[in-house]
Amino acid sequence: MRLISLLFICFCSPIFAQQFTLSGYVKDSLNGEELIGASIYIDELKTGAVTNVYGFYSLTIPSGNYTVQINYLGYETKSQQIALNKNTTLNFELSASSKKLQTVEVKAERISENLKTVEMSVTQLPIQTIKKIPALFGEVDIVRSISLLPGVVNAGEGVGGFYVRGGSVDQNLVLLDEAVVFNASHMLGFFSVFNSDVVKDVKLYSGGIPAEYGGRISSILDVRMKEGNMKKYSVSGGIGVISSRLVVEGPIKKDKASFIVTGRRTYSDLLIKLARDPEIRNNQLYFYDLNGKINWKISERDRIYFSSYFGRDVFKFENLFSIFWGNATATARWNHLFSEKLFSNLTFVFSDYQYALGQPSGPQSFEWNSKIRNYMLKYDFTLYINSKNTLKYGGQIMFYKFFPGELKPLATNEILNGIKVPEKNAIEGALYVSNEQQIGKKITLLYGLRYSLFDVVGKGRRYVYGADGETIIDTIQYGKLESIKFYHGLEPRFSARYEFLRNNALKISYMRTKQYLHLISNSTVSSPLDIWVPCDTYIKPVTGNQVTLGFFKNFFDNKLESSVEVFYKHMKDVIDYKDNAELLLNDKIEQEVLRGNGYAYGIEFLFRKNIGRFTGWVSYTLSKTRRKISGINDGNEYPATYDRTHNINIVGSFQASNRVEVGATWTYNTGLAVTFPSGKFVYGGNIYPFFTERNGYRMPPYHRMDLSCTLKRKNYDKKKWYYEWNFSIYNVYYRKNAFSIVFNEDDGKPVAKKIFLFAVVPSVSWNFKF
Amino acid sequence: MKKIRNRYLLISMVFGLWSIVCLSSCEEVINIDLNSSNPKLVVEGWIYNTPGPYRIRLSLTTNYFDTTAAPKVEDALVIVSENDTLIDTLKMGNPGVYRTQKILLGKIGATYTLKIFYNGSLYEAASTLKPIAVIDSLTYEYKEDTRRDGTGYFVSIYFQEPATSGDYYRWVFYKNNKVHKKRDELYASDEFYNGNYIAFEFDNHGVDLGDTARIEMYSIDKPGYDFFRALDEVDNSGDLFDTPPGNAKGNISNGAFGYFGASSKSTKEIIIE
Repeated sequence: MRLISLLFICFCSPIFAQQFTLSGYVKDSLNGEELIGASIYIDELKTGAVTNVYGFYSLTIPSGNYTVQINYLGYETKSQQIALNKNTTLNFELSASSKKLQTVEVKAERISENLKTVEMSVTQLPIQTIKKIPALFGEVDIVRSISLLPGVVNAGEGVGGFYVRGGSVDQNLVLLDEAVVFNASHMLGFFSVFNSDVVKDVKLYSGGIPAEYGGRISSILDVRMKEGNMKKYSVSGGIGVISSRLVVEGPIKKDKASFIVTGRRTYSDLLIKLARDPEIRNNQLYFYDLNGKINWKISERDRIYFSSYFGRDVFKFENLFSIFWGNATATARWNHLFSEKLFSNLTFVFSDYQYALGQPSGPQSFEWNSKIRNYMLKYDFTLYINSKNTLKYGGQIMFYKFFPGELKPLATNEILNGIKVPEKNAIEGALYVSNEQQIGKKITLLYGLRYSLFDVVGKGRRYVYGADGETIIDTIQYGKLESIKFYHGLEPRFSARYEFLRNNALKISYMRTKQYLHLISNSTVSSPLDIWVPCDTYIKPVTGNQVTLGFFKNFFDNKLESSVEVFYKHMKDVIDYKDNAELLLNDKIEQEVLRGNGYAYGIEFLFRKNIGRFTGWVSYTLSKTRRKISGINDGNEYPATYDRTHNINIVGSFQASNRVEVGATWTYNTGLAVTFPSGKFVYGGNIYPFFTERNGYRMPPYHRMDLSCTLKRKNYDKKKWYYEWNFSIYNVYYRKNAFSIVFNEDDGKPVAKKIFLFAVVPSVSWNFKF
Repeated sequence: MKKIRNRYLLISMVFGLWSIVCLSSCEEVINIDLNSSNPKLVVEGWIYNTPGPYRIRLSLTTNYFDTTAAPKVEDALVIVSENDTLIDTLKMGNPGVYRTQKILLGKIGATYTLKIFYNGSLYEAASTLKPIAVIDSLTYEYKEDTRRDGTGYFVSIYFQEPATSGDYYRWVFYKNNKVHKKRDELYASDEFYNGNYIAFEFDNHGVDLGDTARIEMYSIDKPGYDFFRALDEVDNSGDLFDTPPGNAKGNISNGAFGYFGASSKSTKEIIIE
């Protein structure tokens, strides 16, 4: 009873004046796109709200006359006087900061969002910021930009995925309009699946993940697609060295419904056609993606969205091999406002990742398929109780179908037998509740609890192993939807903020996260042939526990933001493989998997300037990632491959004139931890290396500088259509960064050879919009 | 019966991309400081169902960049026993090469055990001699500009794979009585082929007119298959699209490298004319 009354006091702060709710949407004035994370600030009360991912805000405050100030990065601040004497809906439209250089500084006090929010270890990158970063082949890449943030590293060029605070690639939940993207890479990882033209907003949580997210233990990459221009039709696109893009968007009914359709295709295969070697000319190598989205405001309280992504990579090596892979996702959502205070969203998602490879001809011709499919239903509620408390709750249920692999012979006189690794099914569910509570002006708490469950279900067959873990002592057949193995757990989440003196904030967060899927990879780094498998009788879920402590300070009237974060993360039941494990087309994969623990800790520094002609950030991360798995490295702990001790990123962009903008990045990373031979032996007259320490050596440090320059059309603000030229140089000072180091013999003498992928790569692209 | 290797695919894809992006050579020899390690015993030896005597070769590991030959082990006690009844102490002939004295013809179904006493330690291994299918025939075909081995005559092998599963094979390709393409280990499991009539081409082993090609087909056990697979992988490892390198441990106890096996053999020869 005490507790309930306490909670009651928490939620319903004493009412002295009558309380009313101010709510609505914040949008871009030109195209009607909702702005995510825009802040609404009531100066008189020193309180405010932030728009959610649909651009909605709600704020319950005492009646009175107020100055409302609306802020969004890259947009002009807007102030409005209101007299709040009833529940009020107020939509705001902000216009993008004038493309002309600002001569007069706006005097209004800037909002220090990074100090006010309780969130930490979170970076929001509006697409405009990402587009300023110099890109390889001029192809704006979200995953590549993400790895310029503190705490995030990648495994080098040509390698997909990213690694957050010591977590492996599969510990990142990558969402595109709430649909899980199972493999975010194109062309092995040179590019990512996100077409920058259709992306509105990117947010990465590397710690303090709120309770509404779950399923992966290290990070959430939340990518949101644009809704489509609500005001007028528009066609934009770009022509680059390696690909072309086209976007068509516009209102179906002005300010009521809109659509957006985009496409992107690379023409690397057309370049192959130019090759002198006829054998190379017969190869094919390209990818494409298509995105589409429709949204419709049915009423003031209801809005529905349909969005979809489809992408494929195709590679054909003469008639010897062909392979394709890709994702497909579809999302349907229904936003409904039960009242000004209760926002809800119902989501249905379908997501699919598959690959197929094969040898199209010959007596050993075959076709090999693998895929994972996911259906999800999710219902989320946000209750804006009062200006002090925001309650979020909801639940989700997912159904997974795993098709780990099937090999089909194609020739009629086959010598090859077909093989099929049996399908697996699983149900994943979660319920969560969390509350963000303000205590006075200086303290904010975010506490929540997530309950997750995972049920591996039939139909299917499972082996029972003896004490040695290898001998099959029994085989059990399970019926349809019969539970094979059930896992569940509680995931507490907690964050707190304390603001002190002026422009200083101390934050702390703790999260427990559970992950029920593993990515089984046949290679050191991720590749398109990796397969997702559910945890099972012998493969356990991974549990992560992370504590982060941060200090945030702003300088120069909040123009310069800085932060220091210290984290410690423990990962229980991570997997690795036995030496020479057979992972492909293996229905007894549990025999090849070893289980152990891992940990990571580190300190991250970030200085970021978001305002003015010069913008950018400098980050430095010092960290350590270790694994300890019995059966690997004699049971001693060893560094993870992507354990990059030092990671420095400098990202800058400078608006030189109305027409010219230049950008530069420099990145430095400690070399990957790799296994090199400790000696060699002779067998059958041949020399073979042997190894004593897992990841006991380092590749040479990776560093690189890129430059870019954007040239806009003259007097474009007076013209009907706009275009710009973008020139970029990748790897400016020709650093031969090692892609890999291989050991082999040259004239019977053992040598080490470094393979590097890129020389200096200049590129140019042309973008337009009308 | 090539193994389906994703590595090959991925690497050729990366190479495909390289041909576009890489203007100069993208490979260079570099200096790397490697740790040295204590020498370990390396064992190589077979018992066959064809007349002996059989040889066990012992040597030591060396540091990776050493250019001297692997040291031979000359002061070991080597004992091979057949089904724990016939016990044979081997005698060293050439340095590091020990020959059987009593075991002179391997028996199908028998288990052979190896014991080595060296430098105060005991190293052991055992292998059971399994039967082998008989090669029906060999054929050859002239091919131009093949992807794997250019122009030449390519030999195919034909045999009936037995209906029992769990058979493992190893082949040695001789060209004019010399092992052709030494580093290219040929081995397979019947996992994807069980009970089929096998016809496959040695597509990486082109020979010329007038050459004599001899194929020796051996039965090996599961540890033997794993060992050859591991040798193959160790040989190809190093890039990021490979599994982290694992040791080719073999079946010798106590941390020694190499493999001791019992094997039966089927041989066929063909002259290219």
